[in-house]
Amino acid sequence: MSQRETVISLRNVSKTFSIKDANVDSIRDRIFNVLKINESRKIQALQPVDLDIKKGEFFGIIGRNGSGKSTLLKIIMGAIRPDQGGIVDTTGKMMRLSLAMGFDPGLTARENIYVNGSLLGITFKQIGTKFDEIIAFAELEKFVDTKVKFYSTGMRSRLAFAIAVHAEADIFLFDEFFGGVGDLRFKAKSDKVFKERMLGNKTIVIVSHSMQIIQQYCNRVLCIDKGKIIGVGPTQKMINIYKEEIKKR
Amino acid sequence: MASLLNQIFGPILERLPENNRLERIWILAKVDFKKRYYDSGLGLIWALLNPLLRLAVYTLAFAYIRTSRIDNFALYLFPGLLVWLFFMEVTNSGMTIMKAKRYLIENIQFNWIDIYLASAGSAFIGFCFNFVAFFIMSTYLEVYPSVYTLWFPLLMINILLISMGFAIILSSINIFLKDINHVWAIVTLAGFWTAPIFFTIEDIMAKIPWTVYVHPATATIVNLRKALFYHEQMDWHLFAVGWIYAVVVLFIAYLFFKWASPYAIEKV
Repeated sequence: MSQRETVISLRNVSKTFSIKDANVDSIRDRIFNVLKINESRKIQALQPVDLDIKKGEFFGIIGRNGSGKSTLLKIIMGAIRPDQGGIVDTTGKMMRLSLAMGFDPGLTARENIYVNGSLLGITFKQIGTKFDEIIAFAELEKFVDTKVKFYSTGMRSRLAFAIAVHAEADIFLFDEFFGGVGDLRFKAKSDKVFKERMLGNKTIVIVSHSMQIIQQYCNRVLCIDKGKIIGVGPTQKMINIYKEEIKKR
Repeated sequence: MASLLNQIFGPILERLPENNRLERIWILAKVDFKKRYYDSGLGLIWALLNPLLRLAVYTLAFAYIRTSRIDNFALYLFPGLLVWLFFMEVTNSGMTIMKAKRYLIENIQFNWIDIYLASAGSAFIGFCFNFVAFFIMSTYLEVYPSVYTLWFPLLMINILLISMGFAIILSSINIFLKDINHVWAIVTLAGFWTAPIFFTIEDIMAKIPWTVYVHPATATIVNLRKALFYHEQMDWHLFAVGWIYAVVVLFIAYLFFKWASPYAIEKV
């Protein structure tokens, strides 16, 4: 593992959110608040962290609600930027998967597949060759041209998962996504494909509350609490630390 | 009906070399445009029918109710009106684009400029449909295209770039000031009445000549009217003004985007 190339590198990455009690998002508020002392509060959502994730790793992030897990994921994604001095360096195409994943509910499955695919850098021709496979995998043959807003939650997550396993992203960020996909039969199928296509080939960073999934798949785990990194290490060791932390509260 | 866009633009795209970025901008623009007509009975036919009917109403109104010193006043009016409506559509939809496309920018890494290009592209498809209606109507009224009509694409691209620049600036400001849309509604209202849409350029030059250099659409409207209505050679001075304006606005837009985009997800 140590021989492999580093694909995610964080150096001195922290995040402080500035929260204002009075909302000054409008022109009126800006004018009326000009003489007032700025009452913004600083909340450190993430304390400085250094982290290297190697190619092909299945990396877990665990912690209680509000501990900074999703903030860390969004920083890795590049959706929010870290505080000054922090450096985020990533190699390869990245895709974040959550239950509210990148679907426009007003578009059909076909259109959403083309939009998502082309954003990931896949050409129309390539999407065309995989299209039937994606739809067949998601078991949505009869609903290809139905708008996603008419889909059930199960149908949506099947589509999301089908896109993910066929997508040519190098790094996947699972935000409470894994494990909630479809019924038992689909779960068994997706588990099989997931193991064949993604495990070991793709770099996966997962945020989850399911210790079962973390235990089953992760090579390494980062435990975080109130924005502070408790530790990074072997899966079982970090799960034990996490459980002890919870007992202390 | 839904494949009308594919029939028109598909063959063009197929002949271009395989280019993911171009395809990405195209698919985003296409779905954006289609969504607007999706739920209506006649679908995309409305894109053509709407401006055609609008033009018919103007023609009737100006022929029977208000007589103008300009013949075919509706045809005189329409290029200016279309340019201004296009500018408003691009800037208004661009202003809130970060919020509208949050589901994409939060989940996939790509160049965010592409969503502005796609949004402007979507409005541009509608703009083209409007001009098809204009050409149908002007042929019906026996005002035929001339050699000067060939300048038309260059003028359309000019206003497209200017509108996109404004859209990026406004969307950057919107990250920090949520009610910029109310201010913009007043600014565009002022823009409508200071552009040579209902008034002639002579009226504008007599009272407020400086607006030619400040107004984003005046140069395009004047030259578009020369190309499509008067069938005259372009005003080269205004043509230069239009393109310099586009370069300056896009440069300012670049600076705004660089400054504001890192806060897009946090603040929107």
